[in-house]
Amino acid sequence: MNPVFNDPELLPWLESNQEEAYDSLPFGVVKMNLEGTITAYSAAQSDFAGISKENAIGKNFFTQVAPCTNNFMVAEKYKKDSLDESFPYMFTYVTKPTPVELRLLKGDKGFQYLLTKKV
Amino acid sequence: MLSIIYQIPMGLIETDREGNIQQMNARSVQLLMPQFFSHGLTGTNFHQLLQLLAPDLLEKITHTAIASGIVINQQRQELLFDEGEGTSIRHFIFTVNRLDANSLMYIFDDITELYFKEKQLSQSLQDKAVEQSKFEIASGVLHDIGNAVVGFGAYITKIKRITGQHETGTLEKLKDFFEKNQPALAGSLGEKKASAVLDLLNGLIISQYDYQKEINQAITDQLKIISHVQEILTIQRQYVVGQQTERLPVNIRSVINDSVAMLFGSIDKNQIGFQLDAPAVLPKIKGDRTRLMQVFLNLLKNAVDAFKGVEQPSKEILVTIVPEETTLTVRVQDNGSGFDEATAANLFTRGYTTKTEGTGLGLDNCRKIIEAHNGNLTVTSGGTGQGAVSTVIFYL
Repeated sequence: MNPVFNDPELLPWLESNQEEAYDSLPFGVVKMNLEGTITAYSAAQSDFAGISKENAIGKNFFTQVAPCTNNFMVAEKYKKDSLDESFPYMFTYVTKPTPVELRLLKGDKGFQYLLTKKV
Repeated sequence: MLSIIYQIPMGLIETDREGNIQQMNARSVQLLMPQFFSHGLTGTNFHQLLQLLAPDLLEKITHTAIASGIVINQQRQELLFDEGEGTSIRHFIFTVNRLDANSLMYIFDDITELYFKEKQLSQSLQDKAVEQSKFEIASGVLHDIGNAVVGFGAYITKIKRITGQHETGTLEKLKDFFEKNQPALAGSLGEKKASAVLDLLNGLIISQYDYQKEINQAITDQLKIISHVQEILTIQRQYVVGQQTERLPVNIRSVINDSVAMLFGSIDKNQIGFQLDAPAVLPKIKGDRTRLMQVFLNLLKNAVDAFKGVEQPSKEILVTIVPEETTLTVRVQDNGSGFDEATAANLFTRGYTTKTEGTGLGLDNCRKIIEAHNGNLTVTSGGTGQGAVSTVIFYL
């Protein structure tokens, strides 16, 4: 059974499952290394953003793919050692502002995650 | 095109006339979204945020009479931003374009870094201007003090002359007259009174001699002090360096005359004859008059000092200025003590001096100044006791 967006066990699920499993989730998943380089980009995230997986993987999420998140509200939060925060945000999917809910996750396995749910 | 607009590094927001956001790019979200949420706003209406951060700017935009076109053009605006762990003032620049009756386009960016760099540059320019004016003031003060000292020296010399005129000669003559006519004096006043008159005269003469001697000593001491002050001024002028001053046409004859005026006291005290030989019309040198004065003052002072401790019937300094097609040559020649080959080799070595009270900063600095004026400086002598010639050639 797939976890829901605000599932408290979502981080362990993400860390223990293959990246192909992310495509079955109804919300967008971006997996990054600790420098912000995208290592996995789910199908839902690709639909939301209009960016294909191939164009996203290997790029820096905060400076190249989603520069609108490069501020203290989103990017700076990942400097913490561990992270699990949710808040409303506005994404501009190629200039059209779209309200979303973001969830920021970071564990101790060397990866961090940004999840996106449309509201 | 839209993806390009999305990525450009400045904020772009299109709103309706009420401020509801129709489109916005990544940079605008990056800069403003945290401000929306920190003020409890949803991020869908830009005018709500402007009302809180820049109400005057919003007032101008919403009350403009312009139906279409630029409403605000590159206006700088200070905004109090929430930075997560406190607030700070950010400097933004805004351009607002009314696209039509119902659409506004906001173009903006955070120029805080640029603002502080501009401020630093402005401060640096201001500091430089203050330093420059300090140097100019210092240079001016040194010049004015120098002139005042020259005037004072000339006055002291005049006093010396005046007190010299009130010599005891008159009293001596009177005494001689009474001594020659003592019998007649004794006959008129009596032996004792006649003798007392002569004693009185002798006493007056001695007293006058002593007084004269004291005055002369005091005047000599004053002239020494003046000379010392002039040396200090000369040295201090050499430290007012490093500032680029505007190059203006300089009359070398005027520079020489002013330098001689400053050394008038020394020239007169040492009974040195001075002559300037120059044509009526001279080409002007483009340069720094103050620096050139330092040079010629130094060269003339060296010529005056060449007579220290020298006993000779005739002491002469001759300055000649010779203009030619491509050069202007100034020679300062004296018939003083001169110097040997060993001294010649070290003349331009910084710190080297043959004077007991000098610092050796003169000729090295003088040469640099002349070279900075497209010229060169040489100093030669036929040997000890054969005088010296300082030659400055300016290449026109």
